[in-house]
Order: sequence, then structure tokens, then C-alpha cells
Amino acid sequence: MSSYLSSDQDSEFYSDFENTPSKGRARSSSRASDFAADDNPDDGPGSYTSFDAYFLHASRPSRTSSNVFSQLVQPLSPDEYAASLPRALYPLPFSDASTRLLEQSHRPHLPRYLLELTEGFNLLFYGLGSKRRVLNELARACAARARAHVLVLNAFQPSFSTRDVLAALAHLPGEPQDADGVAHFLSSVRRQRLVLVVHNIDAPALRTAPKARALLAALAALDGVQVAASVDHVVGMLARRWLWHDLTTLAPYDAELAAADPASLRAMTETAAVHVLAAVTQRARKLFVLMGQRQLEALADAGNVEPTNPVDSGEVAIAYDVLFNLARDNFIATNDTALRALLGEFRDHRLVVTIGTGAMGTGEMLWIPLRKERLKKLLDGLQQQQDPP
Amino acid sequence: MSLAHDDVDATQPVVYIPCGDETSTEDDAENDTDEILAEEYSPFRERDLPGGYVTRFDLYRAAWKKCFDRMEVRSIFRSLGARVETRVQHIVSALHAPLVDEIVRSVHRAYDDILPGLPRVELPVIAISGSSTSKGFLADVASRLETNHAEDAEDDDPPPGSHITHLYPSDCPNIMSTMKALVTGFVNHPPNGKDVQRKPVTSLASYDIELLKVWYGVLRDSAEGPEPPPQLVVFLHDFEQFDESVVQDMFYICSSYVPQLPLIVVVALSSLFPSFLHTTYPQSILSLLRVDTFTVPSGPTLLERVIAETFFDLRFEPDVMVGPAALDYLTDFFCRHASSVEGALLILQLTHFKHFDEPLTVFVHDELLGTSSAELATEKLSDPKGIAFLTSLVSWSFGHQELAPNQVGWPVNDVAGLLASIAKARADFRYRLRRFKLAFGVLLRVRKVILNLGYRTAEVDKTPLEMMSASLRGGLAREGKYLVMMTKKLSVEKTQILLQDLQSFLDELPGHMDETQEVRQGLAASAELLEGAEGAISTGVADEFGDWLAGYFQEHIINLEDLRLWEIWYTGPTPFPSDMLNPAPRASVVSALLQPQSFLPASHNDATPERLPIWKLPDASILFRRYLEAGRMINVYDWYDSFSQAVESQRSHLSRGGGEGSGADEEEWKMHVQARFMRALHTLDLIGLIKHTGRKADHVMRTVFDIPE
Repeated sequence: MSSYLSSDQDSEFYSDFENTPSKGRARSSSRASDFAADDNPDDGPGSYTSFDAYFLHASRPSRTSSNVFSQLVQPLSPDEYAASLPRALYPLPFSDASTRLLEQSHRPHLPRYLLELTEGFNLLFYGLGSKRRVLNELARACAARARAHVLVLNAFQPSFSTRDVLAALAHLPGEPQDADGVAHFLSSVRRQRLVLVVHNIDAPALRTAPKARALLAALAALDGVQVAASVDHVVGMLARRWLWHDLTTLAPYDAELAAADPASLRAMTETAAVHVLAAVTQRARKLFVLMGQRQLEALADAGNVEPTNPVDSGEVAIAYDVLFNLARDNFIATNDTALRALLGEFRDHRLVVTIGTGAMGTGEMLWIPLRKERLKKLLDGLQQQQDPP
Repeated sequence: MSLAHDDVDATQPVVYIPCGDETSTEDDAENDTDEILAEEYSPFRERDLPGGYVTRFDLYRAAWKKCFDRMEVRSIFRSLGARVETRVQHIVSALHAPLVDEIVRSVHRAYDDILPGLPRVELPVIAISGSSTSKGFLADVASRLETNHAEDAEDDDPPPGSHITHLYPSDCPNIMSTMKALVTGFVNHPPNGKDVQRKPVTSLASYDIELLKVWYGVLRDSAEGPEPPPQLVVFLHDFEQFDESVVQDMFYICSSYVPQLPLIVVVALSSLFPSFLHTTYPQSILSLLRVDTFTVPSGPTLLERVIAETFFDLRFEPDVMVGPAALDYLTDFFCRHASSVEGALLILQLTHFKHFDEPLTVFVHDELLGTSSAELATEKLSDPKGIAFLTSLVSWSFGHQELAPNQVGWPVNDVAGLLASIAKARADFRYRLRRFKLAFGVLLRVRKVILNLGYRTAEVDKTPLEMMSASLRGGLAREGKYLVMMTKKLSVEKTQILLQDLQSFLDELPGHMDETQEVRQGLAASAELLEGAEGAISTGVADEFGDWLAGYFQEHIINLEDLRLWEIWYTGPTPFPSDMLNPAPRASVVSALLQPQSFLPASHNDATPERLPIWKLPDASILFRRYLEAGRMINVYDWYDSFSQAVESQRSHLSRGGGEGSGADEEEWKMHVQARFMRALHTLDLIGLIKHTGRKADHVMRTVFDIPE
């Protein structure tokens, strides 16, 4: 295809571009100096924006070493993690004293927040550090001084769900069952107020549960209900018509990360499993529970020594034919094809790993690559879902 | 469900804290709450009266209520399924009223004028676009439809109230539940008010439209007199969120039952353009419908009207005049971010809320300082505890020259005199503000007349909202001069038109206003001259009137900040706390990671340098600094390695022993470092700085590419 621009025009076009003062040159020089932009004092930080940085990084393959963390470092068990964390030889920088001081410095603002809540504003708190303590204090102040009924929602818990909110609503006078009930309760007594304090309104449990979100939205839309919530994710939602306050505390996210696995690089591994399980059929979920329970039993038999990679997991894995028999006895799958279809989805999402496949499926072993505590919690959650209280 | 004494339980998903004291729900508790709160809150404690904020908080409430009531009136509708108290904007609803009328009329006539010759009767659909800009609008339409409309004077016999059902996207995941919601929405209201027990075995299914037909038949037959039978109106809220195929099926079913069932569908579109229906639905469905489109007024015009009729209206005197800074922010927010009435109200409320932080605003109404008489107020002000407040009051009231030693002596000599001077300042401010508003009104009117006369050059490059803001800054001199110049060039007839128009503008204002006298006199003088010069081609009248106008503008369109104690009644150039509505959470997190020391209270921060050495940083910051130095992808092991080196250096700096421990200790130390690394890593993951990737084993991706300063 012939170019619409003649070569003359082409060069003119580019030379024009080159001639634009400062910008073009600064950019090309920063490109030439690659990552060494810091070393070049002429450039200065002003000529180099984060957009430039992004495109510079994206323009080349990222070269990293071939070290693999999980192979080179022995993973910590939750007990080891809990035991070794406080074992510091010296006071850490910005630890307790500083964070307490920062939290203290937020305290004088509490009356202001209370006033804003009583005036009907909803509040959102952002900034680095756990905002739990300050918000809990706000919650207690609301109850004690602003004469409001307060519900503190720990949305950062992975198992947080709509059901919990509904169960908590029943504690209000009049035991309302839904948003309409709350509206009725609020209108029954004059100047009655309900304040929802939501820790991490951007938590995965709320992000991925439209029902819980809808319930919160319905509650927040009522007259006499105010919300004070914290946001930690940097690309969190941007709610207009809320008042935002910077509440940087630098405090460690201990409660928020209590559910995180110290051996996993992800703070929230469970969610992936929860997503997959939410999408599969009831039958497949039953199969997963069955497998999980069998694996937990096997782990207990093996003296609770957990394998860290698929190769070592032979002891706790379940043989395919054993699983098939189990599934048939529990009316989950009556033939091989049906079982494979059920397993397919789990395999695709690496929720079930196959090891040692032999010919025609003989000697095939299946294993759920989740740690014991995590698997147990997941199964508990699933069982609760299956037989609601 | 428990409540630990020191902290709220983090292991429970939800903790309920009961209301402080449940016994006092009576009226005596009405205002205590706010006073308890307000007593602790005092933004300018150093120069505030004791308990000053309590008084000011009441003043704030009164001021905001006055302003709010101007903009809206409350009315209670039985609408939207539940008993919701819906606020309807007064000014806004006045703006909407013609459109509401038109929609209601179009609903009533939906089945009256059917085009002849069509193969089948079309289902009337009324598409209201831009309905999301104001919540009250749809409620307004619904309530008008539900009640009898005696106010429709032009209709000789007002049709009876329509039956209404509201459908929301969440109710309608499939056609069965949609039809069920539609049918039961009507059928649950029995025709004669009595609840009918239906036998499930013998009656039709609740999603069957035949059931609605039977119900409607009973309704029609039970109607007495010659009244036309009521219509059935279905509201589809948040129409864009409905499933297309479900709506298509619903339209198809409904259209096959018209006109036996006089169904009318009202579609609430949130976009401003009604083309959504036409781009989303196929011709086969659209051909069944007769679509009428309406657009809710919105955008700058709406805001303009609200502001002009609240703060720039001579008939209304707000306690606090909003200043140009807040006005500019409001305009910007409204035009750029959220073009909704609620958002605008929020900004105005915040402006009021913030304004009353200033201790001096206690004088916004009177000089009583929350007491019942002037004597008590004098006493309160003479109290030694309020000396700082008194000092600031004096220094704000009078300029340097007045306070400097001079022959005349001090402008006031006692507290009573000071209070009297405040009263004077208030009266003066109000007086000047009224003149200012009038002069601004005259300026706009002159501009309008000149534009109407066909002089396009009178178009100023400012929007009306910008004009308002500029006028408050005293920055309309150029526009004023230009208009004066145009006025001077007008011919005799055109001058006459201008004078007549200004006269009618004055006549529209309430009669008792003294401020108009000056303008009336100016007009009268010119009119007299004009009468004398009838027939002449050009006279000095336009010239003279222009001169008068120039003087008038210059005298009255002033910068309100030149007035004494303007801070009490005018928010002026105080910037709006935009952080509270449009924050930068990401910037805050990144800077807290890079420079945690700058967030510490000032006393602990003075001696620390700009950039701390890496061993002085908390763990997450160490990790983040290394993160910024890395490429697009980060190898977790290498990251861990560099983190342990930083921690090693931290150990050698901070540890008292400083030296190496035994082998067992070393093992423990390694685990400790690893635990800290994991915690810091999870922290960065929690706040969203890490993106996991399956592309390379144990690698993560950066999400932030900011440059450390």
C-alpha cells in the first residue's frame, strides 16, 4: 500500500515534531537515557512524568532474574508467622508510638465527623494505614453521644455476606428484616438514627457481591441512615456526594490481613476459589466439598505435614477411581463422563490439580492446591451456603 | 454478637452497638445531642467565645434551612412502592412544571388521538431522557398522574387518577418475573378497595396478563358515572439497565393487549439523548410502539436558575451570601462531574457549614450572642474568657488607621458601642448587597434588550454563571463599559424601548423597595428628555442615559469585600474545601509510603529531612521504594532479597547489640524478616499496588509508575 505522505512530507512532518521546543527533545533524551533518567541531572524530574515512565516500561520486555521465591524460600506457616513477627530486636521505625500519635492527632476531628453525620452527610475515609481503631471510636461516639444505633460491618472479612448484615439488622429494636423494615423502624420514633460504620467498603467481599452492595445502597438511601466507611484500595470507587477525609494512620493492617495466608504472595487467595465456586453448579460444589473433606482427612492422617508443591502431594491426593466411587455413592456423578465434566471447570481454574496421569486415567491423582486452614474455611463457608440457618 | 470493652470485635462480621441511652427519646433530648457535639468542636478555639459553636451551629441550621427552603419545599408522596419522603425542588420544580404538565397531558391523551389507518394500535411509550439529574422529577410525574388533576383547567372533565406500577431492573431478570411484577403491581390494588381472596387453583397465574385484563374489566365495570376508565401506567426506572430481550418480550406482550388494556409505558432514561431506544431495539419492536420523547431540563441552565433565584434575587435575602470562590467551584463541579441538583445542594450546604466555623459569624442575625437581651450579650462579651474573641472582633472591625492613635480617638469606647457598630455594619452590608443585586439585574436586563434589538456584539464571552461570579469580584467593569457604549449609540426609538423595558423590570419587583427609587429617577429623567425631543433624529438623551448608567454601575457593582466585617455575611474568596468532594486518595497513599514522616504531627516532624534513608522507613515503604526502582515486573525473590538487605542495615543502625547472633538466633531473625516481608507485601496488595500475573513464576506487576521526587 502506497503511503499517502510523500517521503518529503514525511520528513517535514517529523522535523516539525522534532522542532517543537523542549518537549520533544526532553522526551527523546529521556528515552535515550532509559532507566538512567535519575542519573542525568539535566533532565530533572519535571521533564519525566509517570505517563512517560509507564510507556518506557511497557516499551521493552521486563528483564528479571529467574529466581523463584517459592522454591528458594521455605514458606512460613501461620503459627511461625504469628510467632516471629513480634520478635524484633529493636523498635521498628514508625511502629506503635508513631501510629498512636497519628491516631491521637485524628481524635480532635471526631466531633466534626459526628456533626457531619448528624447533619446527614455520608463520610468516606482514605489514606494509608488501618483506620479500624479510629472508626471504631467514631462508632462508639455515635452510639454514646449522637444517640444513634450503630452497626459496625467488618467487610474486610472474606466471608462477609448479605446474610450477616440481615442478621445484624435483627438486633435493632423491632427486628427489621430488610431495608423497608429499617425505614419503618426509623420512622416509628422521631429523630431515630442508624449509622453504618463499614470497614473497607471497597473490600473484595463487597466488590464482588452485588446483593450485599444493593442492600447497603438501599439502607444508605433511607432518611436517617448515614454511612461512615473506610477505603484502602488506591483505585477504589469514587463516590460523588460523599464527604472524603484523609485519615492516614500508618498503622499496620493487622485485622484486615488476618485472613491472609503468610505463605501466599496474594493477600486474598480465597477469593479466586470463591469466584469459581460461585459460578459452578450445585452438584459441582458438592463434589468440591467432598474432595476437600477427603483431603483434610488425608492430611490429618499424614500428621498434618503439608505438601508445598504438586510433586510431594501424592500422599494426600485422592485417586481418580476412589473419587469416582465416592461421587457415585453420593449421587453426584453416575458415570465417568459426568464426573469429568464436573471436574473440568475446576481444572481449568487450577482449583484441582492432576498429578501422575497414566494411560486411560489409571493412577491419576487429584489434589486441591490450597492450604489446610484455607481449605477448611472455604469448606465451612460452602457448607453454610448449602444449609442456611 | 458482642462488644468488647476496649475495641470492637474484628472477628465478627457485624457488630451492633446499641443507642447510648434508649430511655430519652422524648423531646427534651431534641437539641442536647447537637450541643454535646458542638461544645467539643471549635475550629478556632484560640479566638472563640466559650460555647460559641453551639450558638453558631443553630445559626448555621437556620441559615441553611432558609436557603434550602427557598430552593425546595418538602412534600410527602406515596410513591415508588414505599412511603418515601421525597423532596421536590421548589425552584427546580417550577422549572420542571411545564414539562410535567406536558407529560401528564400526553399520558391522558395517549388513547384519544390514534392515527387512523394503522394496521394495529400502537403501545404508547413516553421516553423521558435525563431523568437522573433530579430525583424528584419522576416522583412528581407519578404523583400528578395518581391524583385527580383538578388543576388542569383546560381539561373540562379531568380524567380519573391513573393506576401506576414501578418496575426496576432488579425486579426483572427474566420475562416471567417482569410480567409478574407488572401484573401484581396493578392487581394488588383491588378495584373496590376490598382485598380479594383468590383461589390459587382456579385463578390465573400471577404473571399472566389475562389476569390484568380480568382485573381491569372489573375496574371498568365498577366505575360509576360517565367517567372514562382509568389508565394503566408502567414506569421503567433506570431503563438502560434492563435486559433488552426481556423488555422486547414485554413490549410485544403488552402491545397485543392494547387498547383493551390502556397501558402506557413511561421509560426513564438517564442519558440526555433519547436515541437509546432507537439504537438498542430492533425495528420490529419499535414498530409496535408510539414513542414520545421528552428531555428534562438540566445542565448549566438549571444551576443558573437556582443560583439566580436564590442568591441574586431581590425578593429573597439569604443569611449568608455565597462568594465567587464557592460559586466557581460549584459551576465547575456541576458542569464537569455530576450535573445533579443534589450535588449542587450538597456543595451549598457544605459552604454554609464551613462558613459558620468562623467565630465572628455568631453575629449573622443579631448581636445577642445567643442570649436573650442586649445587656446579657454585653455582659457575655465583657467576660474575660472571651477576651481573645473581643480582640479579634475589634481588629477585624476597624482598619489600621482607625485603630492607630489619632485626635478623634477610638471609633468605639465600650462593648455596647462595638455591638452597635456591628449592627450598623450589618445594615450597611444588607443595603449594599440589595443595591448590588439590583444593579446586576439592571445590567443583565440592558444586555438582554440590546441583544434583542439585534446587536450581536453585546454578547459577552462569559456564561451567566461566570457573570455572577465576576460581578461578585467587582470584575464586570469591561462588560459594563461596553454596554454603556452600546447604549450611547442607540437611536431615539431604541432608547425608548430600552427605557420602557427597564421600567417594566422595576415594576415586576416588589413595590416597597427603596433601592429602586434611584433607578426610577434616572429613568424618569431620561424619559422626560426623550418626550421633549420627539421626532428628532439624534438627541443627547441616549448619551446622557449612558452616562447615568455608567455611574450607576460603577457605584453599585462593587467588590463586597470592601465592606466592613463582610466575613460575617459573605463567604467571599474562601476556597471551597474541594478535597472533601474530589479527593486524591492515591496521591495520599503514595506520599504516605514515600514520606511517612510528613504525616506525623508537626512537633515530631521539624527536624526530619525531606528524604529519609531507607533504614529509617517502615517496612511497606522500604518495599515500595524498591518497587519504584524496578521495571514493569518484579521478581518477588529479588524483591525479598533487597528488602532483607535494607532490614540488615536497619538492624545494624538500630539494634543496641548491633553484632551477629548465634546460629539459632540467625534462623529466628531470618524468619522474622520473612514475616515482615510477607506482611508488607500483603499490605501493598491490599491497597492495590500489586497486580498478580501468571506469566512468570512468582512475579508481580507494578500498578503505580509515579516518580519519587
